[in-house]
Amino acid sequence: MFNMYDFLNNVVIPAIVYSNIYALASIGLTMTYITTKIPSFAHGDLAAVGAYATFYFLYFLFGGIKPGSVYLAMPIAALAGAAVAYLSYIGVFKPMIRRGASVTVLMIASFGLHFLIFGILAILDSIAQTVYGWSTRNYSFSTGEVQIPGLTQSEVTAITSSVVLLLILAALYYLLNRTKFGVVMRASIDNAPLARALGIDVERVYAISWLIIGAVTGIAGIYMGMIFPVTEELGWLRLPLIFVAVIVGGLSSIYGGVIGGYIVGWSMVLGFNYILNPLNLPPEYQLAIPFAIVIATLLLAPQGIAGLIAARRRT
Amino acid sequence: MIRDVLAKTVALVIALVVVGALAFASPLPKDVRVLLQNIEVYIAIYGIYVISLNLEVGYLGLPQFGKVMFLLIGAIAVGGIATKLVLLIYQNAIFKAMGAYPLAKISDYCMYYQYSVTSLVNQMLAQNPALGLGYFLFGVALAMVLSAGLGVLFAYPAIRLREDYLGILLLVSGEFLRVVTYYATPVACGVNGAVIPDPFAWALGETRTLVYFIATSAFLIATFLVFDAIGNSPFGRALRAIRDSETAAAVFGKDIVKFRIRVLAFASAFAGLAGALLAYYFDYTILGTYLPIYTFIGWTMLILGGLGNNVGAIVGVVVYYIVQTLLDIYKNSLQAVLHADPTYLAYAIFGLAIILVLMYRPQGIVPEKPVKTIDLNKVRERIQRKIK
Amino acid sequence: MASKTLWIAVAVVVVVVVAAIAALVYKPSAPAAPTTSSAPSASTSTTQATPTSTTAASVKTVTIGALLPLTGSLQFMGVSGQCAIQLAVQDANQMFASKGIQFQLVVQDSACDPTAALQKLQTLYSQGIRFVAGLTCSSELSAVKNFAEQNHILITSISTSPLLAVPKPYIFRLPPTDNAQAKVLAALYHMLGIKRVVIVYRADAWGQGLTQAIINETKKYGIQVVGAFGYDPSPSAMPAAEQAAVQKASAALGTPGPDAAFEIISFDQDGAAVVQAAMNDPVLSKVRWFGTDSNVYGTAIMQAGGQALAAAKFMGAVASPNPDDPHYLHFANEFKKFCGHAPTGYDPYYYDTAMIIMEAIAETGSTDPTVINSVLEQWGKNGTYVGATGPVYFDQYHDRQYASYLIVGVVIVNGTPTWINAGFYNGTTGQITVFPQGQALFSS
Repeated sequence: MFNMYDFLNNVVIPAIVYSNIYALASIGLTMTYITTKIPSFAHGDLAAVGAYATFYFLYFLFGGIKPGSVYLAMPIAALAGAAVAYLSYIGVFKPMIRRGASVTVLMIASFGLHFLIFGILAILDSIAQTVYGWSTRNYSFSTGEVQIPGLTQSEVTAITSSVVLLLILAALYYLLNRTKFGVVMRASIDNAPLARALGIDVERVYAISWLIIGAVTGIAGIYMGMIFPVTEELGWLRLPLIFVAVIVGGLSSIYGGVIGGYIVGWSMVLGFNYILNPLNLPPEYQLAIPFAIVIATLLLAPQGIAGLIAARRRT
Repeated sequence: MIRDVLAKTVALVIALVVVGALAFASPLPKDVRVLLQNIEVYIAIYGIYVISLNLEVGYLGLPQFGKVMFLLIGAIAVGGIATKLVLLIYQNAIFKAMGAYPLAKISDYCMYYQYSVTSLVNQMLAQNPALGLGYFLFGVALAMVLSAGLGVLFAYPAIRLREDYLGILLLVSGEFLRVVTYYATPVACGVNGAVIPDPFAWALGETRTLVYFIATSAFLIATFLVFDAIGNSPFGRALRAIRDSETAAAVFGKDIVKFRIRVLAFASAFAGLAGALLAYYFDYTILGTYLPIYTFIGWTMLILGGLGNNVGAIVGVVVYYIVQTLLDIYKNSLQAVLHADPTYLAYAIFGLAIILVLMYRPQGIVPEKPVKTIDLNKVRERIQRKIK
Repeated sequence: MASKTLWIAVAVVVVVVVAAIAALVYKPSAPAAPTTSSAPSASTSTTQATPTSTTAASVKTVTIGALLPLTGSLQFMGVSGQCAIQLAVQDANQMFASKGIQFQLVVQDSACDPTAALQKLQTLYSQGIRFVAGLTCSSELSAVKNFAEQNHILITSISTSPLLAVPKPYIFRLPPTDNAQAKVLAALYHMLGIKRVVIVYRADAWGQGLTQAIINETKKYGIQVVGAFGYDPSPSAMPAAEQAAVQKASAALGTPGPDAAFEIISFDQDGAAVVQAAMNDPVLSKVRWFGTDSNVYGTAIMQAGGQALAAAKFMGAVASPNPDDPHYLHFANEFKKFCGHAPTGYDPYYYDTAMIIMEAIAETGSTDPTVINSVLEQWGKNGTYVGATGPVYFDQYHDRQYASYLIVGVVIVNGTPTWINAGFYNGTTGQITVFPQGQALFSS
């Protein structure tokens, strides 16, 4: 017996929410990858920075998380994420790239950066906990979501996260295709030496893209905090799946990252509901299913899902 | 080249003897020596792990992000299979003492009787060091064989997949294997973890640490010798050629597929060895903890030390442990200066240290050097000199 | 060529030697230096600074260690536990100032990883620390067991796994093992006329152990556990596992009825997800719910579905000597002031892991772990130590023996769902006494 209500509640709504979260997080990581070529391990920490910026903003302003208030804090989350991302590019990656560090070295440096950001966040939280008596860990932003009568909180989150994702995509599309900066940026991505020869300050372009990366990921942190308990490891614990989304998305354009996010989100929820449960496997194996799907996909379609799409377009 | 490899190996042996003497037979206070002893065992085990990673990453350029998988396989070989074999060997004695066969109801054994059964087995193994040694070598060999097998399995996608996809495939496969084996109780007692009988049960206290130090050091020396010889052999040169330009190597007639299969099998076997040693040394293993972070830690050690050379791999492990241990010891003094939570402060400083080292030494502490084969011009010179 | 690599190898040796000497140089300063320089700045105390500095000359400083999961999947327990242990150290310094003993705390992060736990314990040992409190995961305890025994390090833990109910010198476990709690829950089911139970549990050593214990105990009353479904508790990619386990539990129970019950074996945060899934379930929302000592008094679970908990007459049992035990109330009060939130789950046990060691040291004046080990064994026989979790008795395996439990439930008070003390389980008699305010929960 097919129950529409159950299907909507157990499959569609969670799938949309997860997909949007992973899509938002993937946009930033894809941009990191196509500009500075760093598979950054510190990417998840930008989301945690966004989440904690929101938390502190709301607590200093309202003393707690009120319904709808996270949207007031969203610009703050974006700013904080952008600031940290910018600093990590200017302070760590740019000097290292200048010294000719290879991709693997940059990657391990980003691993160090993860510990640095994590440690600083955790120190701040411990201080805030003792000084103000706030419980700075394991809270949830779900109470900060707007309340729409007649809709459950996860339904509202499905709608708002979709709206935010679309707005961000539209803004990025406009920025990349309709502004002079967009032209410069695409040129720097496509062919950095040529862009440099034409007098474009490629490093400045990269610095600005890191601002965008941080801002988008900071916002992703707020939505992560609605589903997962917020700790300093909010983004770090989800990093393997963000990487999966980015790689499956094809590493070529930010829209690929969004597709990857959607593939990860839906394959998790569908695989969980229609593979694990019917086969009567114990629920403990929940994580194994999305992983198995990704493994199978990669083995059957070695170029990734985006590769399939690209191949179809070519024919 | 052979001379060079031997010289390095001798230096390694000397270094190990010196630090071993410092830790086991020196006037240092006992608590410092205990710390040194254990750190040396960890360094030896992780040295094997990172040297094997170096063959894949440093020499072949393979994005090995599933390295922890082979530590896991080592743990399964020891905690899951070798342990059960010992229980089978002693099952009648156990039955006499406890009134039940340990493997008859595995879930009860895992949840309630592991310690009582293992302490019985340890008593019997202490009487029979030869069997203990056999059990130790069996576990190690099994770990190596299983890991090599799994490594070869990954050669298939390694040929077909683009580098990024391969990295993710390996990472995800590691997580898949971890989740599946962890929640399958019969594999290695699932969430309770497997208690492992001590193969060197006859050695007690410091003697036990000494036995493990000698065993792990011997394996490290052997690993170093083998991998360094490979790295400086024509095989190693071919690997570097493949890493630097696959197409060019293929044009020169190198069968890339075969090279990748061999490297994966070989490096995986030694990573499995490291996993088995770790499991024996801890005499306990729980599969749920083999998270990707252990892969990243291996990479960090390798990059810190210097990619593409085995001396660098060992230096990286040593530096990593020294930084970590010193931070753990001194973080409370740091707290007095900086007034922050010392544990998290240590993490932040640790991250900063990695960044700073790489910023000032992007090639690692010991950079890769040109391949140790005689320059063609030098050969010509020598020939000409001889002709003269 | 060869000489260069040789130099590098020599450099490695030198670095190791320097590190060893650094550790050596550090060592003697460890017990001596902190009394004057860093004691006032330590996070443990802010108010006690003045008496400390005036009597610094005659004060004997004892450093104890704490090994807690401050990162990873059990971070929420470790961070809260760290605060409880810091509170214990502050209290001890106040209580035993007259005895001329000052306690200091060194915290290490074990990440609930047995490998890391052993390495950190060895680091603590090298700093001259012989007393370590707060070990959390049973896997960590398994990994450090031999090292602690061989090197005489006294460890107090909050692990409850029945696997470790074996002789373990130098290791003491403060919470009762899961079997005791299972006994109480089974008696509670029996009293309420329940015949069918379905369980949803955290798939870790604790959850599995308690589930197995409940299955064993309920058999004695002829109660049937119709199904037990685990979920992966790691903060993984998708928190839908709780929901799936609940769905399976609902299917296994089949039909609601007064003879059916739903047992939630969870912590606070994951319990919230279970409650959210179960409150909309057509079967489970119509039966009684039960909890554990780790989710009653929880804030997240109450926030997630307080009304549903009250409607399902949710009850759980917490080891406690007496409903209005002044020790616990005092602790809860202090904890709230010190840490900023009410204590949950294992916080009082964390407090006692540190306090029992410090009290033993202060009372005997000895810092020899072997002496303290036998003191704790003796105290455990007589119940000499009375802490936040009541008098502490240990059995022959150094595990907590305490059979009395407080039964805690949720009722609506003035329109808001509230935790109340509903009854008391007397361990010696096996009788359950219902308090007046708990009558509503026990009626059908």
